[in-house]
Amino acid sequence: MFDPYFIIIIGSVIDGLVLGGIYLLISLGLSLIFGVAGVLNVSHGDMVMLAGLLTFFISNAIGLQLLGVVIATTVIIPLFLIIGILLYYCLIRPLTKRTKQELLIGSILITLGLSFLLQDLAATVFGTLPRSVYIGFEPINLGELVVPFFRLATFIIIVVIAFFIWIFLKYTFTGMAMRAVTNNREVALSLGIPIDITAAMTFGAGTVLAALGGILYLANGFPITPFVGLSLTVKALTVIVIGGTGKLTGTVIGAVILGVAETLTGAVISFYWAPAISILLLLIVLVIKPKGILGE
Amino acid sequence: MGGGAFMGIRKVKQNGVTRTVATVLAIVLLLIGLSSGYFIGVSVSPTVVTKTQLVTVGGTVTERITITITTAVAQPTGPPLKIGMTISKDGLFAPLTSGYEAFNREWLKWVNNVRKGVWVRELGVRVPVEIIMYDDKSRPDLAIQLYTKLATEDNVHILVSPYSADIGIQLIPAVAERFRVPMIMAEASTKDMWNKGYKYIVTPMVPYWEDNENGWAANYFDMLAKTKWAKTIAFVGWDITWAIDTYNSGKSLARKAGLQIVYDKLLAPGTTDFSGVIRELKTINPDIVYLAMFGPINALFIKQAAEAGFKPKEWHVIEYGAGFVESLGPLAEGVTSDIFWTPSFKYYQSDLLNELMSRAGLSWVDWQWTELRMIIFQMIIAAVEEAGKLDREAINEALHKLQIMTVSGPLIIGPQGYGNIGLVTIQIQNGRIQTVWPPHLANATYVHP
Amino acid sequence: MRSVKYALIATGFVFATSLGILAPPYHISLLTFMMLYGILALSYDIMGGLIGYMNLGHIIFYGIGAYVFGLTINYLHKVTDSSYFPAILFLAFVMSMITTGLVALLLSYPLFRLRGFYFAVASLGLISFTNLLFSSPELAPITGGFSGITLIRDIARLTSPQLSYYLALGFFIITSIAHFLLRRGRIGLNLKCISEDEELSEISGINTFRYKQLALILSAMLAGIAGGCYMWFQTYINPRLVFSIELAFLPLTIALLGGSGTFIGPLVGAIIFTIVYQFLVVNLPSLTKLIFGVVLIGVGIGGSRGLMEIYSLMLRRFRRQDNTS
Repeated sequence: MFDPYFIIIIGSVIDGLVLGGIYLLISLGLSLIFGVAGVLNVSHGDMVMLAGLLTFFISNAIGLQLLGVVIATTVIIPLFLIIGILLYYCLIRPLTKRTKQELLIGSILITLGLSFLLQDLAATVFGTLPRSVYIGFEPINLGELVVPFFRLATFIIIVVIAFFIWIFLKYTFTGMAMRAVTNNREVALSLGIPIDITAAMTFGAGTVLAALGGILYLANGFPITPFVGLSLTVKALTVIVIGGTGKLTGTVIGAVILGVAETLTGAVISFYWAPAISILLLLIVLVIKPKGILGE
Repeated sequence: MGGGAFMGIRKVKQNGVTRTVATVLAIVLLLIGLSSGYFIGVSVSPTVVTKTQLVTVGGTVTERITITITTAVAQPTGPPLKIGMTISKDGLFAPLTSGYEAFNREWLKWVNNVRKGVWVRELGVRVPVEIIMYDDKSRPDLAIQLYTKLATEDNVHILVSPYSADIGIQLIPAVAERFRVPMIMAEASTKDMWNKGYKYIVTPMVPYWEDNENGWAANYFDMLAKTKWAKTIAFVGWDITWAIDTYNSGKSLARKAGLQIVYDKLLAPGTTDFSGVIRELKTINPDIVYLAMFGPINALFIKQAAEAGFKPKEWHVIEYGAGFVESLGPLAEGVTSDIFWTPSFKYYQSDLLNELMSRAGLSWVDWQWTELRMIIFQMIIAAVEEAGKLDREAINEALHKLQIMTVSGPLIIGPQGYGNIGLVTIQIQNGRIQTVWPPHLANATYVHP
Repeated sequence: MRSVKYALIATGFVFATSLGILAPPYHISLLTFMMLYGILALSYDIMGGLIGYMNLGHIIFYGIGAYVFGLTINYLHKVTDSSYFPAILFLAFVMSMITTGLVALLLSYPLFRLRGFYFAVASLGLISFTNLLFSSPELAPITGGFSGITLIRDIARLTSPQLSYYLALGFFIITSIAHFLLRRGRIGLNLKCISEDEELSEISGINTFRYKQLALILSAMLAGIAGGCYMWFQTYINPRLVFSIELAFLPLTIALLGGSGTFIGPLVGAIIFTIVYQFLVVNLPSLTKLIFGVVLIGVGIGGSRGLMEIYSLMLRRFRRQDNTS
């Protein structure tokens, strides 16, 4: 009934939305951390990697794919929350007495060092094979369009999570504190908001988001090796820059743009240039509108 | 902009920083001290350098010694035969080579304790064998340095190539030819290496890039031509050395076998998201899909295809490699591939190969190129005993004239330096890997729609 | 005091030169890498340390320099022959320098619209893009695509470990001198002003853009020459060897390890890095990255003055006189 080329395009857009959704989770985490703590967490992508690999091994040990992933998730969320908070207190806090410039450089170095550390540890513990999970449900047929079951499920899950994040940031005390510190640090301080604790909580929350992204990435059949961390961090950076730092809606738009652009470029132009489009977008946005599409 | 203001800022930073920087400095100095000690130690004792994790006969061997003392044959003595190589424990090639460490260890135990070393005519004794192995992390520049070290400092007699042809091709002029060390190309063999006037390299493998009976999937297409069940075929591959050669020869062989090529997509190496390609394949619906990428990536493709609801009548992969059957489970059923050896082969020392692999904890299902390494070891023993001395030139000459029996059948090294060990077709049936073609080596029947 | 410093430098020079003759081939290759890392760190420091712009994409120039060098040699060899060898070599280095300088010039216009964090991210992104560009099948006829390019055998045969080492040593000395000179006089002062407070410098009448441009072009050309040297030394290159995000942090790390803003600092950093790296790679391959992670964390916590800070601190205490602060 439909022109097959058209089906391919629509399919790519749907794929792009799901991919964008996963990027959204990862970038949100990074964006929050940068906004509140002023730190560029280079090891963010490695958190994604760790969560993904852990999920793989837990679900493998249990044997059942979907149930295994769910159980893994319940373990991973609190675990990574703690990891994020610990990360802040041990490695970042010693730096907070410095100038903004020094903080940036120092935090980049420290988190880069952490990234290397995690990569080697993961390689030793988990091995270097690419891992992914195949959840074998029947794909959903919408006429001539076929959508893999778990991709649809992922999309729904992400929408739900994004909704909860929005509620959290807007209505809870911690959420409001995070927004306040991102917008204006001095004012927040003068209002009595405990920046230290807020930053720690943000690190924890951001890391959990990265972990969730990792679980979904793995469960959708994307392979994870111990070394994907850095490239994922760069992708998250791209999203943040495109959408504007510190803004939730901006990050959503940025992530969707990135995801769809990647898949469409792959389908229409060539699969080779799909990753290139993300960088091109980054560079174009940086040059034309450095504060991002929704920036101030 | 006077100096004073800046001095002030700097001093404030100093105090808080001093302690931690001092600690870092202390650690670094310690490491420097250790490393210079290492360098001095190496240069002062020129004979045997034993790499802790990875080498020789020493302590691992005690239980064996007690058993063999009862026989009349003496232990190997004399200067050791040194073999040098790198494996990749990091990076792209790690899943495909990191198991060789264990295999090398088991082979060393066998060759030194059971076979009693290698006979060197000129010395009149059987000498022990030593393997020196480094980790090249899948990086060509590191590999070149490490192989240079093997050739000039560790003074090995023979080199064995790493897995990757990309790396291997650089090593030939930079190390083998320059320092005149014979090097046996293992999995790393491509068209660009041969017929270039290089004198120090050989390989047991056929020139598989040719589209005749030497071709990588030659037996597979022969089988298709004889069984006549398929009409259309799709080709998907990574544009990287070796894969691209099997891709091109595959296309040519497919045409010769009377198949119609309906899809032809070369992807950038490293691509792992195939949803777009799979979508296109779904509309085209070929009988066979020929995947020319590394084993784990082929598995990934098949998984992603299953998720999207696409399954051709048959998958053919050029390599299945580590974890393929395990990670795919039922999805692996019916997949065909090509390999140099299977346990059903009954040629020289096949049983030994089986035993060594099981002792090393390697399932031959996961480590499908180990037989190449075994063949290479067989070549080395034969060449050294033929040459009669532990001399690089003599060994090189012997290698180039080699005619021996291996686990995969008779091997004759041709004038160009490559051999005649070819591939047979296997198919995964009920979670097991069965040889299905050519008929005289098959141990199961080919299953096709 | 100054004469002591000069004596030290002279001794170092004699020592380094004699190493080229005395050291065995494996060690010479180590030393060559040491020099190359030193050049990378120093040239990076012109942007990162002297003018305060964290150019994470610095190794793009290294890679472009290497590619242009290789392509020039291969091309020239096709149209002439190996008898012109020294001229070919010279021209290739010149081409590397010119190309990277031009690229830097072009990039300066869009890049310097950004500062701090955004500048760093943009330059980082450039690395991935350049990687894709050089690996692409479309450009493969020129760049060799994924598999890269190799120096033509006839020329590659003429290389020797000594030659590579002396070339690298020579370029390192040139780079050190350049770095040293840039810190002096009017230019040095202006650079420091820009790094401390750019708006103020702009208002004070310094043409910040021109200075930033100068710094970028200079650091690019130096990195480009180092790249050419690398190509000569290895006779082979592919995109992943130079345009990798992991490598991006190497110049930065070495510069900070030894001490940013001085010209001895990056050398110290390069020496330490090379020795430690080789030791690790040979003996503890599985833990190399891990140990570097730990070192990086240490450097990060320790601050940007690195080891040279310790040295000058010790010197100060030794002298006991100077309480200038």
